[in-house]
Amino acid sequence: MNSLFVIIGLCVFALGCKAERDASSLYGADESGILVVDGLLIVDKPLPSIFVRQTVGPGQIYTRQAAAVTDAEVVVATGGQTVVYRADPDSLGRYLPPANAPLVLPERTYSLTVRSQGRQARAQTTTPGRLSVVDAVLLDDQTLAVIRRFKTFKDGKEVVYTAPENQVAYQEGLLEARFNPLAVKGYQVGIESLDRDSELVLESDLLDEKDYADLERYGSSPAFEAKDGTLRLPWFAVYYGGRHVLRFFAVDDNWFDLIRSVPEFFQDGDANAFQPGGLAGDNFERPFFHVEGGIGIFGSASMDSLGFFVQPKK
Amino acid sequence: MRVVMLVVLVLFACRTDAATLSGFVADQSNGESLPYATVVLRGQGPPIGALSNVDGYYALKAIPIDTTFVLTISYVGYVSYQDTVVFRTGEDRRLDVQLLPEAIETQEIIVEADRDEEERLIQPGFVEIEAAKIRDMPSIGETDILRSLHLLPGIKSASDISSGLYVRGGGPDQTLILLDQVPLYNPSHAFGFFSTFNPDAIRDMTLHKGAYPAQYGGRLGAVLDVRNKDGNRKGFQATGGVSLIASRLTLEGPTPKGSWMVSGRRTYIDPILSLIRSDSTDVPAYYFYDLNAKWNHDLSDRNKLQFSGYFGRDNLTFDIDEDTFFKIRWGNTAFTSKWTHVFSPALYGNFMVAGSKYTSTTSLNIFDTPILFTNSIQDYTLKGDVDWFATRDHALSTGFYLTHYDFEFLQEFNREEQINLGLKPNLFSAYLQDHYQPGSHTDIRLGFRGNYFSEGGRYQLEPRLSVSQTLNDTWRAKFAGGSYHQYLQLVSTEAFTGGDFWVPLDETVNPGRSWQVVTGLEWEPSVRYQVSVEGYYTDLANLVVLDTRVAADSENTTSEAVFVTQGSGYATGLEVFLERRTGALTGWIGYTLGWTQRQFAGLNGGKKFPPKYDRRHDVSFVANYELGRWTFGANYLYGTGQAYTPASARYSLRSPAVPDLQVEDLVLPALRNSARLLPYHRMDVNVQRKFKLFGTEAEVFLQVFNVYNRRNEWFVSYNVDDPETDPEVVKMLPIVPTFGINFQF
Repeated sequence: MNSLFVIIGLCVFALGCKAERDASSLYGADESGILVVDGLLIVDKPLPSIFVRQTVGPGQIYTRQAAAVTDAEVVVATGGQTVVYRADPDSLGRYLPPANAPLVLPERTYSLTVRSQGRQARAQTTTPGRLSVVDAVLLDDQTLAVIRRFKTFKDGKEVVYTAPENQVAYQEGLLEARFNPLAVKGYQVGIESLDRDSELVLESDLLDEKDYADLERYGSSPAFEAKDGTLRLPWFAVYYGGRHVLRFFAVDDNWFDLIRSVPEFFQDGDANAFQPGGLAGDNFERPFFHVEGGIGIFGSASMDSLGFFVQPKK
Repeated sequence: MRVVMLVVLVLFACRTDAATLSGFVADQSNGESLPYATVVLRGQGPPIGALSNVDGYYALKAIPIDTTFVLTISYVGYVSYQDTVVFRTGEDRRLDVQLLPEAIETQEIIVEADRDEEERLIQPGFVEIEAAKIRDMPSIGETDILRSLHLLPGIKSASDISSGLYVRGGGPDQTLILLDQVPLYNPSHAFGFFSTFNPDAIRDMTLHKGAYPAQYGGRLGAVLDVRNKDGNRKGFQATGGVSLIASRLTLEGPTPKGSWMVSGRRTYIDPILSLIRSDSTDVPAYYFYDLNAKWNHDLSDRNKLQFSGYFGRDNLTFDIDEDTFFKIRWGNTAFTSKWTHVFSPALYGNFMVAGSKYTSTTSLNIFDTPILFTNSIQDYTLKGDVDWFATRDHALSTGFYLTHYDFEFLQEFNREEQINLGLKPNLFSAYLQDHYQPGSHTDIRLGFRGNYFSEGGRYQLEPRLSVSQTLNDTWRAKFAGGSYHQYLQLVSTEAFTGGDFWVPLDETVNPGRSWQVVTGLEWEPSVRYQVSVEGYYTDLANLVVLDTRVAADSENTTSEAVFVTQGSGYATGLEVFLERRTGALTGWIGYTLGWTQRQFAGLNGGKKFPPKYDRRHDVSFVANYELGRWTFGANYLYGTGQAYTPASARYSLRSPAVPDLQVEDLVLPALRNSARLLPYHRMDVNVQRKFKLFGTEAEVFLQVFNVYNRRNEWFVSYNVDDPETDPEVVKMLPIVPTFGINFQF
């Protein structure tokens, strides 16, 4: 009798442990085949290339090449002018404007139409005014007093990396950019380490070898409103020494809404894991796409840049 | 106007030649007052009865003179007081009664009840739970009164590591949690794993699961009213315990005219973590502690003073290196000073000055980039409650609350102040309630509560009604309903509660509103068994939920900008509760069938969705078996899996600020919470044995949480680093055995 109880107990234990299930049962209703557009217009730059892909069911093998849409008609229009794109033979799903593509103008509305196999996606963006960084300074990290002013690209393309003012010791002071605020919802900052073989300046017990190997030479910020016209560089965005460029974007509504609703653009981690949520549920929520008949982004921004050179920590 | 007329009618209805009987009902073993005790006079006519109030005070009015009555004062678990009484013309008799606890076999019940009138029978959805009984229930590491509530029908938890209360389809922010009548804003330790309530310091708690009466307000759903022990008025007593998580010690004793109680609890996980940290830096330092104290002083037989306080803190420090650390401190502080005055045998008052504060400071330094979040909510309340036992049929209650809130939120990033929000609204509330007993089988409680909230200058009137009808000796029908408003909103993460904070809603949004209706039937074939069925429906409007997509430095901190607003929803369900209340084997089986939905124009494409805690079926089974010095306990829970948002597709987009360098592979969320995790089920067991330790009462216990090691699902994340999507189901707690010792002398 005792043995019977032991066997029953073990069975219950084993059944209890078993709470596994097939991965396919963890997916929602398949939404494959939706057009995904990806076009980012920058004021005073030529019309950019535009990527057209489609969604793939979560249970299928996904590659960007396989998701590429190669037979699309892609048209960008503004002020009565129409620009017809052509597929890039060297890059699947990429569409190129004509060689004489016009520059993107500030405060102008552009519309995108993509058609493919009976599907149509449409989007529209209104470009911001021109953004100009008027000052860049290094602040004392305790008193916030200005230590020195940086050279900017207005002073020359290379001087921003070589001038003594632009030599910054890692974690010494605070780098602040100042600009005249525009009538936009927000801003975003991108950082790039230009010297691909420069040494790491970051040292931390928090990171192991794999973490160090995964450190990228680029990154981007979340959305900021920056209504006072200042943005400060956090030192956790810098990992390497050498030349760095900071790009400041004054973004349109589409760009702003996308980056504030897709946290993966500026943070690592799996979707739906431990993100702050409200009481109505978690925040694994469909992003704000502003694309009719599809998803993705057709957004615009105006941009200015700042260059500096990162020296190892003193 | 009708209320005024009612008062006037009641005044004229008073019979001046009749007698009055009043007094306090208390526990003879320690002098603690007994709330909701039944006091009944039985003579030739219909019985005259009343319940003692929360302080154990009762009054019977309009008692016929020169009539012989049998007076019975009863309370479940205590020997009833009985006497034959005759009253003279105009007599005001004061009778303070102390009841003796009964033998053990009749005490072993968790949810108290009495066969006569009782608060639970008047008010549907009401339960009273003694802290002493909760200690007999299986737990994880440390006895926890909030976790024990998860075993009742209609109450859910978010996860194994959460002590948050989800009552009848409402979120944890919709339940008002009071300690000695003061709200505690974040009643949790260890990121929600434990509640702040030290089981040794707590005497009992009452829970209104819905349609609560007019003396409470400020939340859309439920009220949990926890009371600290008053302190032993008969002699010095020490109780304590040692578990794997924390140690507790409670001291209490009499004073010449009252009693005192001090209780403390502290974790000792930090020394263990320190030992581990000596080998590795990747271990944080963490501890929590709390302290409860209470002092009672009887100025006279008509005046009593009471002071009580609570102080609790959690402290987590994670020092990685010189440039990187993480520190979070949070805690509650609360105090009350209460004056109780018996104006006349029929007029009883409580006046209170109270305060409560919750603070949380999160300080991070990531590679020399400092980030700071601090928030605090503090309230100061002046409160008065008066019970007037006006006539034999009418007991009027009235009261007022004047609360001043002081709320602050500060956010600094990289030594730059981004948000500095301060709000100091006032809330004024007043209520009037009549408990009318038109006959011995009918109870009607009609009340109104009025609120004025200074943010936006908002006035609200909230009607409340409950009706209870005894159908025959064993059946009773109940109904309750009411309107409720909520002026504060909890900003919370569902995973951890350490960073939770409350925000007063400002003039840009309407306060949350609910209408609740509850109806039920109870059948008590004997003292031993009780069966109840309750149905509920709650209509919700003006809901808000944190908008997690607001820019990190947004200076627009109005409620309209911070929250997704104008949400609506409903919660409805049916609860069945079968309880065996006396004997060696006690326990219950509970079942809930429930639905709850939310809808926000700015979420889920405007479509309705179930919140995560929507559960279609929920079953709980609790059993406790007493065998001499041994006690065996078992709990079993089964619930429909929580709702979650699944992935419906994969796609890629370039990261806009670095489009040539970074392309993100992403998953497309399906409709919000459109899928379900696997059903949740779990069994916990508990064995206790009482023994003598150096001549004092002690007991050892062994508890096993999740005894068959069911790895229940917590949430799903999708890894898209590879072409094949890798969904990962993060599991909740495995089997966790704990043991410890409790003592008392």
